[in-house]
Amino acid sequence: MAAAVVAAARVLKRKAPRGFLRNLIKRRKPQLHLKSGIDLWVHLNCLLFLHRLAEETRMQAFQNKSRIIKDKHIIAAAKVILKKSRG
Amino acid sequence: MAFLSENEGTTRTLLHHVLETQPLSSPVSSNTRQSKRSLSTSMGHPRRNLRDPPSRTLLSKQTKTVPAQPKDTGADGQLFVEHYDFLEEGTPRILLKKILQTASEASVLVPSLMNSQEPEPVELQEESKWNSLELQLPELEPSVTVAPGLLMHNRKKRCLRVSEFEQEVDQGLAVASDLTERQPASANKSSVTRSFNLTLATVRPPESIERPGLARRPPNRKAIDVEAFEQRLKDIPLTPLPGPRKQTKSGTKSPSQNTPLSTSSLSAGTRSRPWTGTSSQNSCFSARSLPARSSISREARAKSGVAHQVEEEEERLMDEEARESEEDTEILQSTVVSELSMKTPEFLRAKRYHSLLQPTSPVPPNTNTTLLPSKLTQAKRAPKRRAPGPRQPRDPDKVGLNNYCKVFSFYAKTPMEKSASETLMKCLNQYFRTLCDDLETFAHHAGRKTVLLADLELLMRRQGLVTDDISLYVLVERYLPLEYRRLLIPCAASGNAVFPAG
Repeated sequence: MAAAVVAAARVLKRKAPRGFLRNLIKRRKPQLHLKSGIDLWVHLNCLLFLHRLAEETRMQAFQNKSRIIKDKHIIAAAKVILKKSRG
Repeated sequence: MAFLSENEGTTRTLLHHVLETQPLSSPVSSNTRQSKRSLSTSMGHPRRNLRDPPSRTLLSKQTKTVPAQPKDTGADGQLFVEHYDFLEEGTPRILLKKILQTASEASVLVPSLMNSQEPEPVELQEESKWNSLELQLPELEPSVTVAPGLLMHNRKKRCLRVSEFEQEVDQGLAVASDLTERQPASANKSSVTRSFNLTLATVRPPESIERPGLARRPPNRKAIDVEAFEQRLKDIPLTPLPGPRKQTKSGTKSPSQNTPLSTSSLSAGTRSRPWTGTSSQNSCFSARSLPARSSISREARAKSGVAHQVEEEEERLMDEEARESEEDTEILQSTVVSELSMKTPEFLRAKRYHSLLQPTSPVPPNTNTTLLPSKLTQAKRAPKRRAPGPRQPRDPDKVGLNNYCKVFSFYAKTPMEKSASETLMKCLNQYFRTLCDDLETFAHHAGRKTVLLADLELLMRRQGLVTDDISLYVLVERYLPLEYRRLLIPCAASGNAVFPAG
């Protein structure tokens, strides 16, 4: 499995998984109410987070001179970005 | 003379003559006046003679100082000319020239629109019309200033009027007679004639007549009938309760429906027969009512011991009742239902009976033909009945998070290892955890229990995504598809409303 490589996605999915996000937050924090359009903003936040994470991961991979993204790249990148996204 | 008689009716010739008789724009030049006079004299004495009365009347009207005196001497006419010359500075000339340009040579008749003003004797009807026309034009002139803009405006009015005359000529003199009744007010004339023309136009029939398809149609109720039909299919083995539902429209979702169930089961049995209406049906229903009653009684028994299967049936029944109460308002076509019930009587009935009689069987009845309630129950069943697989939060998460994994790979543009995607899922989980915590903290800090947009904006600001340079909405535009912009970015709409409501 480690050798298996997943090719990069070409087309970005356009719809936001609104129901999924709502359920996620509801499950974690059942006492928290969400306004009607909030899940779209959460989706935006996710996209931005992933964007930053991907950039960082790519940089890490290039630094290690590898063409494929590996676990360690992601972990290293996540350390930085999660700290940034702490709020 | 013959030539003149031909041209008598034309506006052009009259205007031409008027133009010639009129002095030039420069008021001071007496020489020019004299030259004009000579010109006019040279034009043709007989012509002049004929033209004198109209021209003089014209001039008299212009000056307004001298009363209209037809058939003055030539000298008087010239005096009038001088008078006129001093008063007006050439605007009538230009206007008349324009009229000459616009007026077509074919127009013979001019409606006596302006006829009412003159009490002069009219030799020919046409001539009087010409008079009126001529008199009309100079009358307009004093009202019009020398400003070129207004000249243009005047010109347009003139053009309109002439064209309108032509139209009226086409329609006949009857129209002209109508027009004579109208006020010869200078400014209103064009609008009046215009309105007259407009009234002549046929009124379009209302759109509904033209396009019957757009007429309002009675609301369609078929959707609910389908539901009813499905309901009926479901109802058959369990003898449910359209009757009692109608009687007691209690809360549908409450679990305390078992008592109405039991009470109504008896009435349902009796009511099912008249409801079906066919003899064959009666036998079926009576047969079904027995297992139904037994099932209901069983359920009443099982209520005490919270059996797995019974809960399912109860839920199903409750769902059915919910559906029934919805349908109560509808008049159900029993024949349709009866036909369909005929299709599913034997095997389904056997299956349902089987399932009811065997409360321990974990398999839900294959009531795939009856749909909505059974599906719901199956969905509820799924998490409970499945063998202990992955943890619950993981299960639904994986589908959703895969979504975001694809987004990540799209942004990364380089291929990833599969193990890396597992790590990515962990990262995302961590991220969502912190996100929820942050949102709760912010909402609580604001004294709220609801997460609002302000909370999210604060979060993004603290994350460094939103700065003074980059606003929230810019990010929306960059990252989200077009359809979301309308939902997320408030736009001002008409009526002092902002959408979405801020």
